[in-house]
Amino acid sequence: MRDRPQPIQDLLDGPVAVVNVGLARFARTLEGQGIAAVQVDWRPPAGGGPGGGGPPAGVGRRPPAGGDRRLIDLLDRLGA
Amino acid sequence: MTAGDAAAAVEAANARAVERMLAADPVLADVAVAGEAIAGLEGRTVLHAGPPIGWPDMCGPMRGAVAGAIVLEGWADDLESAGALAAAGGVAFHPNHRFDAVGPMTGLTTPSMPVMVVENRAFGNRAFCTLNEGLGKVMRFGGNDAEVLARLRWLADGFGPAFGAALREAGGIALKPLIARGLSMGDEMHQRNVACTSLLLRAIAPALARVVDDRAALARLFEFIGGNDQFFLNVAMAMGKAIMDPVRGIAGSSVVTAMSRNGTMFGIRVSGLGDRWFTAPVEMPRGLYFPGFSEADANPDMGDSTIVETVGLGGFAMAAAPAVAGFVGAGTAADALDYTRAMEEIAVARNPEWTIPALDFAGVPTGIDIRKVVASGQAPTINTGIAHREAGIGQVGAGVVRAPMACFEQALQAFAAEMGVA
Repeated sequence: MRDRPQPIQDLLDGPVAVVNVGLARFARTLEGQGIAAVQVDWRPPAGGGPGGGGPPAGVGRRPPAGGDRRLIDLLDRLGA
Repeated sequence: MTAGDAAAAVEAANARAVERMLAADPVLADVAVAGEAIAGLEGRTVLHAGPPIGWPDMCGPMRGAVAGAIVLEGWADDLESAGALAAAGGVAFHPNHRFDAVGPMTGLTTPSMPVMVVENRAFGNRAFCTLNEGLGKVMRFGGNDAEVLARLRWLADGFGPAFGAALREAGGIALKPLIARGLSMGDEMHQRNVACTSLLLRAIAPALARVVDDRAALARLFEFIGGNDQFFLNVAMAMGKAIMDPVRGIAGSSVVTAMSRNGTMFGIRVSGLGDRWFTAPVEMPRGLYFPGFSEADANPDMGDSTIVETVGLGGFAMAAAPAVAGFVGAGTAADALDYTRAMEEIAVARNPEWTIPALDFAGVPTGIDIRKVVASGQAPTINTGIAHREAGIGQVGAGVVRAPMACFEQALQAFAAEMGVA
């Protein structure tokens, strides 16, 4: 096994404080081994789920009426 | 007509259109010979998918399928002379939609082929679709060799007559409740039909067993249906056509009655504009390809199967079928929900009988309104198979494609003129 770099070795020589961000399973796994972990409840902004920032990539849309003034006028007259 | 009057008239007409869609009672009633069941399909006539197209503009798979169908009908002895016959104007080409029919991918229907018959018993109309040939090298993807033609002959001489007899013996299979169950079992009825195929087989098996005496023949029928997860697609398509045809010709309605593609052009028809096609070049699906293939091998979008989206299934019901989202390269199960939500923006209503568990049993988006499509910039999303661009190779992938916005913009202008507000 290769020797650890000294800064990492220093870190692991003392008590380790774990802060887990995101998936809670990682924190629970450590806790199960007797290691204290602080869980931070975080998820990526606009993560793609329901209501998560618009349609997915395959459902891209154009501007209304493609920005065509004539079509916008027709839509107004047809109640859209 | 003032703008206010026009808007009110369109709302009322669209409500009638959706009323007819929801009142439909489609029943898979029979399998019949196309030339006997479809009025006007006679002589050397070839029906194809999509809006009208002639031989010079047909894509590779369409030409391959046409050549194969001509040999199948006995109008030429081999594929080469069949192509020459078609190029010389020796056969008449018409869209399936003109003859109350639909067909997947190349969509060819010729007089000797067996077609499934779906009756809309609420309105008295019938619609037709050929039998699904299975996967691999098949005519709907342009296949035309001896193996393809032999399977088509068995469908005409063996499978079709037996399946038709079983359907008649059973008094038909009601399709709306079957679709409702399929949606709750993960089908969207375009790229995933495994649940509905199974439900149909379960429903028809006793009748098949009663009408087919030969155990080996019966086993082959069961194997054919059970071995093809997409068997139900063609049933869903005939059902879609049977539902949408009574919606044609409602004055003032901006609801789409057909979306279809011939591999070269995409076309839509709108209720208040009769049977006129509004067309634009087809787009290339985005999706996943089978090993060894890529977009460079793909033919652009093709087939009448978009009738499934026209009734609110397929891409419109993606939320019901998270497995499809992965299969067609559309993303995650969460993305599948967003696809359906996006289609709600362009629909007139939701179908209370066809609901999606993952959306708290919201109904599928129903009745595509061309005004909403253009106003939102949101084109209908379609789940589709992808054919190889050369004839005879078959399916190379599956993906998602959008209806070209130009079709809807053209239709909107014609519709405004029809309503007297252009």
